[in-house]
Parts: sequence; C-alpha cells; structure tokens
Amino acid sequence: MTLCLPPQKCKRAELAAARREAALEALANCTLCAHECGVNRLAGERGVCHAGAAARIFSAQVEVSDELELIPTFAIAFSGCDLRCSFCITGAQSWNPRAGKDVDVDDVATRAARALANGARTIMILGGEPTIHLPSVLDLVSRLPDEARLIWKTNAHGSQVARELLAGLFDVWLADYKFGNDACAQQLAGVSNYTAIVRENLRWAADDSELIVRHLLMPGHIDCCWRPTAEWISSELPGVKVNLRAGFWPAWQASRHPEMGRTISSGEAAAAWEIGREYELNLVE
Amino acid sequence: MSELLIMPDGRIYAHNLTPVLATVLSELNPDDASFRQRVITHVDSETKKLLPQTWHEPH
Repeated sequence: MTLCLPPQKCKRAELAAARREAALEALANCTLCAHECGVNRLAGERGVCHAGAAARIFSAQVEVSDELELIPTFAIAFSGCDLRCSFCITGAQSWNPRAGKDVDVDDVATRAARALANGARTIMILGGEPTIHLPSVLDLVSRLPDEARLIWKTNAHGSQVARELLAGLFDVWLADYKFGNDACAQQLAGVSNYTAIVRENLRWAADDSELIVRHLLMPGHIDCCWRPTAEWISSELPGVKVNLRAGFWPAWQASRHPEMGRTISSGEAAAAWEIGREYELNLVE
Repeated sequence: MSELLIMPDGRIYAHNLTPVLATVLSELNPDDASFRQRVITHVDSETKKLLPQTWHEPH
C-alpha cells in the first residue's frame, strides 16, 4: 500500500486525497475492518458488511445529541456496518449498506462548510460504520476545510490497514467500547475476538488523536459489560474522556434477547455511575 | 431526521437530535438544565423559521 508523507508534513485535505487511491485498491482484497474477509468488493463480492464499492449515506444534518464539547455537529452517517448489534438504534440503515442515497461528496462537503459557517462546531463522520467506506470518506475529507474540527465516530473494530489510512486525519476519535467480554459481543453483535480488537484500536486512537470512549449501558449488562470496560479504561487509558450513555431503548432486534427488551432502570444507572466513580473515570456528558 | 421514544411514564428518549427538536423538547421541560445545554444559543435564520413562534433565544 502506498501512503502519503507523515501526517505532520501534509495538510489534512492533501493527506486524505493522497490516500484515497490506496483505500480504493484495498477494496480488491478488503481487510478494512477486523473481520478481514478478503473479498473483492470491486468485483461485486460481499463480506460480512455486505457493502460494495460505492458508499451511501442515510443522514447528513446538524445534530446536538452528542458530547457537549462537540455540538452542534454536522453529522454525516454512512450506510452499512461490519457489526450486527441486535439493539442497533439505526439497524435498518446500519445493517443495509444500500439504505439512503449515493454519497455526493461535493454536496455534502458544501453543506458541512455551510453548517460550520452557521455555528456548527464540528463535522462528524459516522455510520453505520464509516470504516468500511474509507475510499469515500477520504474523498470527502479531502474536500473539507483543513481548519474544521473533524470527529471520527467508530465502533473501534477497524483493522491495521484502516488505521494506517486514517492516521492523522481526525481531531477526535469518538469510539464505542460496547461489550465488556467476548461472550456478550458474540451473543449480541455476532462478533468474535471483540475485546482484543477494540482495545488495540483504542490504544492506537489515544496516540493518534484526542479520544473519547463511549459506552452505552445495556439492561442486564452492567456487571458483565460496563464494569470490565471501566476497569480496563482506568488501568490502560487513565484520564481519557468517557461518556456513559444511559439512553438505551429496545430498538431493532433487541427483543431477541430477553434482558434487552426494556430501558435502563434508575437503579442500574445509579450503579453504573458508581462504578465510574469507583474507577475514577473522567466522565463527560 | 430524529427519532423519539415516549415512555408511558412521560420520559422521552431522543436519537439524532436536531437543534430544532432539542429546542421544542426543552420547552416541554424548561427546568431540565442538563438538557437545556443542548439547545444552541445561536440559531441561524433558516432554523429560526422552523421554530415555534413562541420560541426566543436562550440567554
């Protein structure tokens, strides 16, 4: 793979443009996410994410539901994802890379710039999971103003190849740490070896940019998922910002799991915050 | 596009919250200081057209 000069020697837009060709070539033997299917997406083969070579988006708008330090943000959501979280709040779009419309990077970049001019503080690229659409992401980033504060919202399940293509491009990695153990990850999202992969990505992201880790509290998964997550962050990434999200609702196919058919109870929320304090996490809203 | 889930006890969960909807929701419960932080203090002219006539810029 041919990459650009070291990030510090390139402007972001130039860096993204220089990497776009390598990202496109990577689709011929796709290993952008940690599933590393190796399918040829350029030839119409489909891997776990079912995505082809062309990217689509299902939303591009100013939003205010993310971290307070990031909002208002112009959020650009790519269709499709490499995980299969049964409770996904955007399951119809995240499980289907054909959802939404073809991405017109010029149009989206123009709208993003207009949003910044009208008071948006950041531009956020998310999904689904944007990692599976790196050629289009890099094309888009190459058209965004270098001074814009860019947020990479990810499931932290990317591969080494993806990380090399993303290095130095984003100001903030807003990364999910969803499951505290591999059994829950397998059961709820159909993903194996989750813990090692997400930890590898988080360690890398903390070196590459500012990192904010998100954990969505799931009903019945406080001790098995939140506690180990909190413990690891406290031990390995002390001081990193953590956003503990209590807004779970039983979306998409959550009801397939008996414990997931409800919202978080007040007792669970209180216990979760206590765990955060116990591990002295840097909790942010 | 935003999504709302309104619970029987009156709690409202919101996803992909836009500034317009945040403003409306904040007016439903103006005492929620935490949520009110999400109401943008500057609203551009296009967004203002979409807001309720009773809306006024927060101080």
